[in-house]
Amino acid sequence: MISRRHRRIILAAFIGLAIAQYAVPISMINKRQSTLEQGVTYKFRIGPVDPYDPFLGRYLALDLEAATFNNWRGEPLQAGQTLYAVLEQDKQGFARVITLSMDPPGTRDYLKARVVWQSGSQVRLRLPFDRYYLEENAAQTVWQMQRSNPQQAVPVHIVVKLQDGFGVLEELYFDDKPIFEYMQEQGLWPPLG
Amino acid sequence: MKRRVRWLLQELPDLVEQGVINQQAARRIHDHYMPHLDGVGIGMRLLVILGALLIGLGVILLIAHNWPQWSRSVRTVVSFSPLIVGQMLVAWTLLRRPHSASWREGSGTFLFISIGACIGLIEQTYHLGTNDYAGFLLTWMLLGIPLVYLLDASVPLLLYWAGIVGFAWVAQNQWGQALLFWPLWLAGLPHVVQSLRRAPWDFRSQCLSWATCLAVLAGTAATLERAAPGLWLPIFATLFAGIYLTHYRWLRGAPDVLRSPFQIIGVAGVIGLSLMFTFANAWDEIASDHTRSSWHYREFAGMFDYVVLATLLVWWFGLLRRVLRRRDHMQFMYAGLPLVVIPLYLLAAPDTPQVFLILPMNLYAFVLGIATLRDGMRNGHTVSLNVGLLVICSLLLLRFFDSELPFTIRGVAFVVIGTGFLATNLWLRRRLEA
Repeated sequence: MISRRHRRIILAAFIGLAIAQYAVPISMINKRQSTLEQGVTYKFRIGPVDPYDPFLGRYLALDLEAATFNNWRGEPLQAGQTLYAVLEQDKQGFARVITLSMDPPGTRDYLKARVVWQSGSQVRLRLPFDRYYLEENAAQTVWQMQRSNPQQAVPVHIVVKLQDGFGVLEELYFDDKPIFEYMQEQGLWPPLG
Repeated sequence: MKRRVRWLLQELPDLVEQGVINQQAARRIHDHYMPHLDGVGIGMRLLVILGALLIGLGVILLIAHNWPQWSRSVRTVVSFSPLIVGQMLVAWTLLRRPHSASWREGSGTFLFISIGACIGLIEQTYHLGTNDYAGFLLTWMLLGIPLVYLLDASVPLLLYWAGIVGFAWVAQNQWGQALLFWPLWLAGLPHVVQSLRRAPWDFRSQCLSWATCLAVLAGTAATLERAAPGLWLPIFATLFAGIYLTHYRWLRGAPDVLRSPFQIIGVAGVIGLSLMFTFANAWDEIASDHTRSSWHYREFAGMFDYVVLATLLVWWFGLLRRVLRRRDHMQFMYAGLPLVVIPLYLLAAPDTPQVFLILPMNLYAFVLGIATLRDGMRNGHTVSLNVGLLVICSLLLLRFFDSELPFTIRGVAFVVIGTGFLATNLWLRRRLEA
């Protein structure tokens, strides 16, 4: 049997919980939205494939070229360790890791990353963008598109926004066009039937 | 009728406060009318919970479709809608139906799933990478667990157990350690204890008991760093023996064997492990130079394996002392598994002849089987009798497959063992009927 006072406490606690249940997702959105609006734009070259996540649906697994750094001269790195990839844009505007730093670099653009492995001067990084979520038919179409014509694969890249080491993926581009625009042009979207 | 009962029950606290009736009378009226209010029966309640679960999961699938036409703002609105509906249902339940178990479980389950759907859709909208999958599960579970206590609802706790076990496996991979599993597990425990105290044999407590034991077993397996090879042998031996003893300390007297999850899991675990440890390969890697060296390994988390073992030992020994005082041989046989495994674990070294390890284990398993069989015969327990027979036969069969005996001899032995099984059962039945 619940007394009135007890019930009031439960209700107050529930209101607190409900607020927290809004606050967490809202703060997630805020951080990403402010990065998208105020962040610096970077492009990353990639080669996608297609897996599936039972909770979040279909996605393209993104393999960023910049995730392999070939010029490490510092002390041996431990797999799994967190560090900061300092970025620069090349002449075509694509991102390039110029060095790896143990602390956030002051003025330059950077991304927080994890070491996957290191072999001599080569370091494989895990950057925050490894998935692009897509509607299931679209994901299937992209997968077939890539598989049917692997030799003449169109160049693929993503555009991201960076702010204080935090990055948000903005859009996936096929042949310099946003993915859905490209698929529409190719007559692959919307899917038949 | 229901509306009047609901009104009456809501009035009770006021009547007590104003001194019209005393606390005992209020409690008796409450207990008398409560069944009228929630008289939907367990079948109906399960249907409500199943409905909430299916709707919640359906929402996740709809969201996972990744609607391509939606802009970011539409997605944001959509991602919050199940959460808003879930919260409204829970608020309504707390205000209007605080006595209805169906409403509490159903609305709690729906809101629990909605939290995951909301965060998941935001992650999806912003193409969040896999780097932080563990973080996603952790946030979800932390925002969901208070529902268990606010609503006194058990299905959300079952979802929570599944979620934190999933978190432990993912975090072990992504963060290199998953020690947070333990405080998370402890956060769910008071609800289980409360339910077991209230009504240890009802369906809800049974489900909670099964799930709690399975969660702690899966969580232990996930969080062990396995830095010291073979440390899992004493850890799991102690864990199963402790689960067995927990049954005898607090949960004796179930109306039937099937309603003793702790006993079933404890007995099955002790028997399973003792049979497993009779194989030479179980002891192979112990004390070898092998240590875990992948990047996943974290030294401080490796140390925690010993903390887990020490905690388990304290818990197990605390319960064992009671058994020793009472000189209960049967219980001592089962709960004593660590007393055999730990010395053997300490003895094991790469150059220890395997016979020193396997022989005592075989002996223990054999004596365990005989003691159980004898207990069954003496007290006329068919279950004990058959469990005892099963242990002895399994042991014989296992050694049989180990050895290089010809098929004919194995065949004859199978027939003899089968006949023995039937004969013993027949004998016991005759004796019970006589």
